[in-house]
Amino acid sequence: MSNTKASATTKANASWLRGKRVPLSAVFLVSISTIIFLFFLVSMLAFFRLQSFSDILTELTEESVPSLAISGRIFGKVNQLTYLTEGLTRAQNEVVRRVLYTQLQEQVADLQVLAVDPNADPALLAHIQGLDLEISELNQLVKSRLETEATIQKTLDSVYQLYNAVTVSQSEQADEDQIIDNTNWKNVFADVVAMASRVATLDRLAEIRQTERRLEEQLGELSELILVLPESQQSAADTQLQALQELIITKTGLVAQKISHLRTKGRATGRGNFVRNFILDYAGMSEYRAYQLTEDTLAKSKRTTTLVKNQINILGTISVIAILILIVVIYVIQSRIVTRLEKLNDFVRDRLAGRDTRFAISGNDEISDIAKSFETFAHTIEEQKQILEDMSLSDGLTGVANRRAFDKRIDHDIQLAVRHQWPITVILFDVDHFKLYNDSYGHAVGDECLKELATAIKNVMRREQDFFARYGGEEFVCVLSDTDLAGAKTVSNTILEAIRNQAIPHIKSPISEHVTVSVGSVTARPSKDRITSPIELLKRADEALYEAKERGRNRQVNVQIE
Amino acid sequence: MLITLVASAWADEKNITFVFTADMPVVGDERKGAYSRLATLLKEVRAQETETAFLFGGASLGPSPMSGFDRGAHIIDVLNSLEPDAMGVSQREFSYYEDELSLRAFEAGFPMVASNLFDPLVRSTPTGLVDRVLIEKGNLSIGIVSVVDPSVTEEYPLERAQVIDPSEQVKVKALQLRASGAQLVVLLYSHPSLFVKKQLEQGVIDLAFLTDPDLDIRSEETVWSHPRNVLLSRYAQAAVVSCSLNENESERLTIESKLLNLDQFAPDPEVVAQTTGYSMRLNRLLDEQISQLKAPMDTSRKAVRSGENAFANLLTDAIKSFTQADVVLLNGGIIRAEKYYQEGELITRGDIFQELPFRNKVATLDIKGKVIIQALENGLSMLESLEGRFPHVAGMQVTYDSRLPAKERVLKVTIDGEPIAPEKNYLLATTQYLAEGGDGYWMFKEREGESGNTKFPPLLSDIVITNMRQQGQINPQIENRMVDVAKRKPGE
Repeated sequence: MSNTKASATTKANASWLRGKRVPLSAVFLVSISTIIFLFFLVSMLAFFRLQSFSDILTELTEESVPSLAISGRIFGKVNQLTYLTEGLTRAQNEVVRRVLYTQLQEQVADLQVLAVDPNADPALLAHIQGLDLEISELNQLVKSRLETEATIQKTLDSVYQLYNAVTVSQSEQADEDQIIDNTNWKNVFADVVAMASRVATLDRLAEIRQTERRLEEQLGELSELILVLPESQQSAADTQLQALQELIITKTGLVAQKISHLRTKGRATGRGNFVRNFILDYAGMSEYRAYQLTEDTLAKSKRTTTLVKNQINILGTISVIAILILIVVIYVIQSRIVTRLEKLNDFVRDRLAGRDTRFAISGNDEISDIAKSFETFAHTIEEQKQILEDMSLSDGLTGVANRRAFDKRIDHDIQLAVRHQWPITVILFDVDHFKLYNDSYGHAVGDECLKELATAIKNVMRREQDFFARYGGEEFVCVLSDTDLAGAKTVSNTILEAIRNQAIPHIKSPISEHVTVSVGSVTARPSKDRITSPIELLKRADEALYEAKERGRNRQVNVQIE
Repeated sequence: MLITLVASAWADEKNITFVFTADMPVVGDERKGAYSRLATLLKEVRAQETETAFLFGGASLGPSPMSGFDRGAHIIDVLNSLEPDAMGVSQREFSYYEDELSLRAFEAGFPMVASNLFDPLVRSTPTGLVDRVLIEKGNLSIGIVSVVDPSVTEEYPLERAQVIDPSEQVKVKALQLRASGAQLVVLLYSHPSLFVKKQLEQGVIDLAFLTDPDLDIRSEETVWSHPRNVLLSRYAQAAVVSCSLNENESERLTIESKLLNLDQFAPDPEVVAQTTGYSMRLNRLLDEQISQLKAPMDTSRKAVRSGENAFANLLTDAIKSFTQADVVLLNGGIIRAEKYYQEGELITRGDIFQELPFRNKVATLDIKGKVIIQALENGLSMLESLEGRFPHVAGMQVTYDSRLPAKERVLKVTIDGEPIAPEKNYLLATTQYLAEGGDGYWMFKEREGESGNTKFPPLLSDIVITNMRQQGQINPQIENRMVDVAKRKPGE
């Protein structure tokens, strides 16, 4: 009993020494906080990453892409302008000129609308205004070129009409002589007309001037030839010549018209090329800007992609770390709480089942506290149980074993004797005339007497295996293992002597002045073949006791069962 | 003023008066474009009895602010009023490349002669131009040839056209002209090549007109002379050459040549009206004030071709910020106005177009450090003769020694404070002109790999104008980007 107590104390001390106390509340707090913190961290990271990604996307969609779109549209318009301008410059008639000019104006108006867009290049508007003016001037030049062309055609037509008139009038009035006379005139006239129509096809100023000089010579020749003509024809010829001169070499004549045409044509072509270049210059800037913008947007997109990749990596890494930490947290909860609760449960069950399980709940927290408390409770209960048990097997008065203890013990010792093949002796003794003693000294003294006797006999039981119990009333019993008849006689005698030595006065005893006992013993050799029952042993011991009483008490009778 | 001509007593003597001038790129400019005065001269000469041929030596389609816009179309327009008998193509006619020149030829009411140009695309003279022309003046047939010196491609890189040996071409064309009846063969040229003298002596050509207003600046060339070689060595001059051709005489051609200063002729009101129209139109395009100067600037020929220049720094910085290149290299020859600007002066678009009259376009190249060093050496190789190749830079600092022999002058180059790495690639912004090997920068043309440029690269002038407009005020400075140790003051 005292051993168990000592070991429990040692265990408790050891658990106290196991480490600093880590309360479960702290474990829970740390675990939950870690989980919440990780969740928060991952959420915030994801949020901020997404936010920055969204900023870049916003920039792309709200700035770069519209700027690109605008500059793309502007570039498209500008390209259209170049070919429309080419067309206008080369326009071969009024209708084409008008149609192309109208289209150009529409395009310029469209561009003006685009130029007002906040994403457009601020220099565009100024450029377009200049362009508008240049285009309208180009249109004027083309118009005047077309007009000159028409005038030249008209003049040429007049020249041909005049020529027709000359040939017709001369052939109508012709007679033999006159034909010869006016052949020269007619031929030179025809030469002039041919030369005039050639002028219309020349595109070199110097050649026109050269032709002009020849025309002047030819016209001079014509005016001389008039004098050779018959007089009737002279005045008509003179009118025709003057008309021809008027049509060809005056300041408004064909030559002047052609020279003016070449200049206007050159100017219109030059202006057309100018406008084209003016547009292309802008297209160059605009295209380069678009190119830069595209590069910029591409670079941004690339950066975004890299950023997103990095963010995915970072978030991935953080998530993996978070998961690992969660696993650790779960492991901690599992090992610190769940496993230990299971152990505690097993431990409690074991203890309830009565198995003496080793206390194995480590740590220093509420669970170990519970385990310790349970251990303490269990221990207390065991002690109390032991006490109760002890109490039920001992005699309340004398403190020696009682009849129940004897019943338990006798079976055990018989078995033992059978196993070891040794003799067993049961001694039964009884206080002589105890009723008289009670009557004379009272029950309280009687009880005291029994206590003294018991104590005296207990001291006689020298071997550890010797059992001694109060059998009931004033009757006591001893069970002596490995004790033969001689031993029985010796022990019986020792008991008689011990009581006598007590010398407890018993004045009413008819046989002695002191308290005496009668002893009956039985010795048996139980074996497997012949098992002696406790009842039999008791009965024979009782018979021996009876016989001792019969013989006068204060003596012993020892029997043996064969 | 009247030109007196030698009247001929002989019936078979043929007379002609040539009027020759060239180098008039800036319409309305007294020095470089007195077209209205030229018109008066022409009227006076044409009023004479003798046949007149007006030969225009070219060198006028560019550069000028207006040409920066229309690539010389207005020059053709004004010439159409002056009615030249022929125009020779000279180097400045390539300011805007051969295709633009072809376009001009279609605007011209006169032939434009280029006898030693070959366009592989059409397998002949570039479209619109003629390799020779035969003009009839009274009873005289005159053949005209015109050549450019092969060195033209160094200053004016052509897209396709090739310059073929002028001497050979003159010989061939002169023969062809004579076969078609030319009694006189006249050569227009712009570089004092020695072969001309030989051909005059051999009778391959009869008369030669040379125009080179910058001739006195060229120190390396020995100028030769020949009685039938007429030299215009100054701006605003015209040669009036009276010729008598007599096949029976031992000296079949006699000439009497006069150099007249155009400023002695009153402006012709018609042409004045025409040129005023251009000025007004140009002002309309260029008058916009874009910026104000906070420091003075000098763009004289010497200032932009002999050392670091504040305006050039402004230019290279604008290009650097526009292209976002690592470094910028431009040649001083693209800066043309030769002006001095005071502090506080307002800068207009026109000023910039005057400074940058060539339609230079920006190009970006991905090139190695060693190529940049080669380019700098090229840029510094002709310091003595103030060639247009002098390099102006941004994004790098160059230390050089002008006393060292050419191609060994660069001492140190740093980019972003780090010494240049010969094998490292840098993004360099320059002009298309230099990228195509102009001004001796062949190393740019022969670079490895292409760079991503757009179809219509923007003009330098537009970039600078945009940049200056954004800045509002500009403070151009010399910032030790190009340091000549020879010019360091002691103790520096």
